[in-house]
Amino acid sequence: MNPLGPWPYDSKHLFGRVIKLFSLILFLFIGGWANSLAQQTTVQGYVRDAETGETLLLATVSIKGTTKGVTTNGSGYYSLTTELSGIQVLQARFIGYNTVEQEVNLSQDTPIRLDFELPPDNLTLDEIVVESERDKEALKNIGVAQLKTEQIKKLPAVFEPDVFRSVQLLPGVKAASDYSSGLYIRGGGPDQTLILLDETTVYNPSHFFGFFSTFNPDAVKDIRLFKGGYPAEYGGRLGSVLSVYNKDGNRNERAGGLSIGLLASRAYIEGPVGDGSYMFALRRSTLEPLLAALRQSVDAIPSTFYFYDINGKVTQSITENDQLSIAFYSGTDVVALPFADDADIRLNYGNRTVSSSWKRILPKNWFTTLTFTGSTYQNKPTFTIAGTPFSQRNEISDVSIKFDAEHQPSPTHDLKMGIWAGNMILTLRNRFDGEETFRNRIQANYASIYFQDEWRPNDRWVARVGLRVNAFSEGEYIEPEPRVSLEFRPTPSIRLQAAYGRYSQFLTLISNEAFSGFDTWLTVDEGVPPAFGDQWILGVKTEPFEGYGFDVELYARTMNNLFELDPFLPDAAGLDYEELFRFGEGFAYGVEVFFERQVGRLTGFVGYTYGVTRRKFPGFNAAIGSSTPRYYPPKYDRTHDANIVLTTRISSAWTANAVFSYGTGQAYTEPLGRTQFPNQPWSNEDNDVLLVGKVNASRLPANHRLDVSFSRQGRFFDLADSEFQIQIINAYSRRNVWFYQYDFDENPVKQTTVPLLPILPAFSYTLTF
Amino acid sequence: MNPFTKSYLSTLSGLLILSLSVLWSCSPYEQDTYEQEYIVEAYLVEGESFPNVTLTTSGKLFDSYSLRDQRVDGATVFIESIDAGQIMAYQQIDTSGIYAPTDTTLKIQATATYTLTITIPGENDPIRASTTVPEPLTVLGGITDRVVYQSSEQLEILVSGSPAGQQRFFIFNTIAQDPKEEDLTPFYQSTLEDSDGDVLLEDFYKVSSGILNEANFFDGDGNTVLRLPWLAVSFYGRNAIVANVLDKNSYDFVRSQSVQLGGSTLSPGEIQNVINHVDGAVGIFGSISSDTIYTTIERNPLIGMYPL
Repeated sequence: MNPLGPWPYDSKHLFGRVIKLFSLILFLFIGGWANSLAQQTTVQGYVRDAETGETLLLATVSIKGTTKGVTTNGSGYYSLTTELSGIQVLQARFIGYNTVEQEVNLSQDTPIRLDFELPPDNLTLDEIVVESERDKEALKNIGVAQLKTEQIKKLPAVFEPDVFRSVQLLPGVKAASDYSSGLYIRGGGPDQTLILLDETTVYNPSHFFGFFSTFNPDAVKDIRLFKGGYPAEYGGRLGSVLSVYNKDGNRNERAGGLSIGLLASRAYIEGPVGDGSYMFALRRSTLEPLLAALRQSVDAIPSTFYFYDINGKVTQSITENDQLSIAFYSGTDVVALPFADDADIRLNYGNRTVSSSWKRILPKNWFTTLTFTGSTYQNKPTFTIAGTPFSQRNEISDVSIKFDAEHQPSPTHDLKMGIWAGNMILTLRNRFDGEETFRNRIQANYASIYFQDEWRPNDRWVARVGLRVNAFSEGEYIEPEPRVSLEFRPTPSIRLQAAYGRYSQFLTLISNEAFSGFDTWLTVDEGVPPAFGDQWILGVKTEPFEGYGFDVELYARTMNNLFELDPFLPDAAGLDYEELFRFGEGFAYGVEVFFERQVGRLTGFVGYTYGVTRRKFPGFNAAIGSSTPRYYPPKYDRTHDANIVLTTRISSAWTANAVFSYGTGQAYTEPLGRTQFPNQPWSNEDNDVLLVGKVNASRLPANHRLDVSFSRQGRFFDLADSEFQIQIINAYSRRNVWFYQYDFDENPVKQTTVPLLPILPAFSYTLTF
Repeated sequence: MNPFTKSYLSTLSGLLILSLSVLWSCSPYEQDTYEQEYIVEAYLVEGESFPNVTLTTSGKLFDSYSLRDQRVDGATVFIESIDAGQIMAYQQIDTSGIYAPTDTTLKIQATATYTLTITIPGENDPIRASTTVPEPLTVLGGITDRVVYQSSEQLEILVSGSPAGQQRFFIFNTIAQDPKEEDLTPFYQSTLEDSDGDVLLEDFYKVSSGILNEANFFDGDGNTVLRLPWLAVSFYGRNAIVANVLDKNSYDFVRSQSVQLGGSTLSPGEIQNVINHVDGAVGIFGSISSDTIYTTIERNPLIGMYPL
């Protein structure tokens, strides 16, 4: 590993030259567009919730009577450039809100600032909601899905409403098991999805050994998922992006909520402050009474076991065009488990993030965001057995600065560009029996720069072209990533889409699908080059009937230079960093089908995925007597995966939800034969050994489950709105199989099944002030 | 729905069915069928006589299994070393597939490469495997006759350094010389009591450390100082402490065998064959160098007085 060198913005340095060239191209490009600004008018501003003042993401603003429309960005900002002039009516629309119209006088070369405040559409039982296709404009982009917080809270969930478990219901997204909230998207592992919370990378997005995610639904405003083919404004992961947006807080009145559940309880408060808002949300596990009761009768119950997370955000409008915000998140899991006399495990892991942003509306139709981010992750598992301690310390400290700009130089072009630079310190230390046995500290500078243009030459064609260049100082890696997508609309209700992108990744996560308490992040370095891959996507998005959607996407992707910790490495002491890894490759392809109904009393969707994913590592999955590796499916490979999500309003107070999931049984390796090696000089055991054929060539029984929930809305002594939710997880108590165990103390060998969740009733009570 | 849209949807449905049909027919990944394998096990120990060689076959997973039933009779077995100028013929000695050397006076030599050849009647190709014996391991000092369990003074043994700076891979054994249940250390006592009969006292007679890299024990002055972890002590009283240096075959076999039933970053149920360096069979033909010292582990009066 090289010692940290100077930050490579040096003209002699390759990376410096790349940035200079990129800047020149950018300057020429923007300069060219600037000349085309004549004879155009721009209307720009924010779209907000009229009750809370929260900005609305992906709301649509259009000129009535025309097909000209734009959607708000991740800040709730829109910019509409038009060659029309005179009196026009602008419409702002968003799902679940009443449409607002505003008359404006468009005069050429005079930009207009116009903010919209949309009143929520309070539904009654018999109302029918129809969303136009345009309302879902951005959601229909290739590879994109979005979830609303309210939807997440209503879906039945094991113990707690959970962001990731709701995302797992979308086509193309799979769960490793009932016990895992990890996201396995289009054949990629959890580390191939970039998790962003208010633009800040979150490295460990799970609590409770991975049982659910760290994102408190009370604090979350929106979740946007790019399953694949994501645009150039994002980077750093091979597969997908999940961007979580915290609430800004209620700008008009103080509000709050309290929710008591079996596993955890939550509270939040939000309200106006100055010319802005604040929001704080707290969630903490409430398992201690249950554990104390269990400890009286059951062995190996943790002596300490809790987790918590805190979210906060303060937003201030400094001027009409300038908005500052600061957001933070802190989450920790702590476990102490004595599992025998003189033996215990202690776990302490968590994340902290902070981000501060300055959003600015500039003349000439520019919107800029300057963001400072900080993110830390630490994981410090310790075992002490018979006076012999083993410990590991994995830490990431990541600080960065980002500058993003959006510009609409003409009615047919939307430009986005940005630069991101940061410094990351990654530490991995192992100690055994009081002595440090492995230490690796990588301090790296990283940077990326991107430019993308969305070009709409007419109402039928949309082209998006972008380029992102990522650089990492350790190993001096520079990865150019072209991205392109094309959309054709033969009719207003049909979109034909295609996309290609190159993606790279400088990080890898060492994890276990069964247990995420020891998650360890590692980076590239000299001798450990970054992983990269290509994605190809074809999609068709249709609206066969008013209020119905029917979408199909085909995807194929490659994964090269996948680097992960060698699973056969018994001890890392004394090894060079690159010796810790094995390097492999993989591919994935599949079809996703999505049918939704968003009108009437019964709404919901059906998602189906046919997917194949394979991996290959040197020496792994070789036939007996051979060293030639073969491709194999990872455990989370599911050939068929289907979800049905339904919601119906039974009465003005009661709502029912149901989720049915079906998936091909997970891949596992069926042992074919056995033998023993009882004569090892260093052992007095029989040393049973399995003989296997192809790795993961067998399948567990098909996995299916029905979860239902019923919610009753009401009032709590006229003090607060209340919601009582009762839910039944695995309603027909299907004993899905997690994995098989083999007991060699029996002769013949006895196979036992380790099941997944049984039927689980749960309830929660939520007050909203 | 207008006719244009209807036409597109019909086309879309057709394409969807076609693409799903094509995809479903791709990438078949069928499980292999079971094939019986010859199983070989032999370990050369530097400075010791030639070892027995065990020759058996594998069994189906859910069939009853015993070495006697799986034995291979009538094989021709010999081990030779051109480096050491040795050749050893073997003969079958019992009904468990064990073949013994015909001469017990010849000793295994350090750094020599030995080749095992087994010819089985009716098989065209012989089974072959080779191993290079590690450099001798010698305890140079630091032997303490008595050590108090979990005291601040751990048993430290200075051993001969590694050749040419190469890292060696160790496995320690602690072998109780007079094991009694009342002399079990607290962790092992608790494990035995909580096992519901699955664990026997004999299982703790010889405790193995698992593979430990030599870099754990470099003292900074170029010496290798082995420090016995307390975890390796299962019985109070007189214990033999054995330090073993593994050859590559043994290292690969042990590290891959330990992963088969969990404990790695592999997912549950993602099982891989052991890393095998035997041509024509599955198993191990490995070698080790080792040295042994003896010490007495005394009870610590502080252990058990306070919650640990």
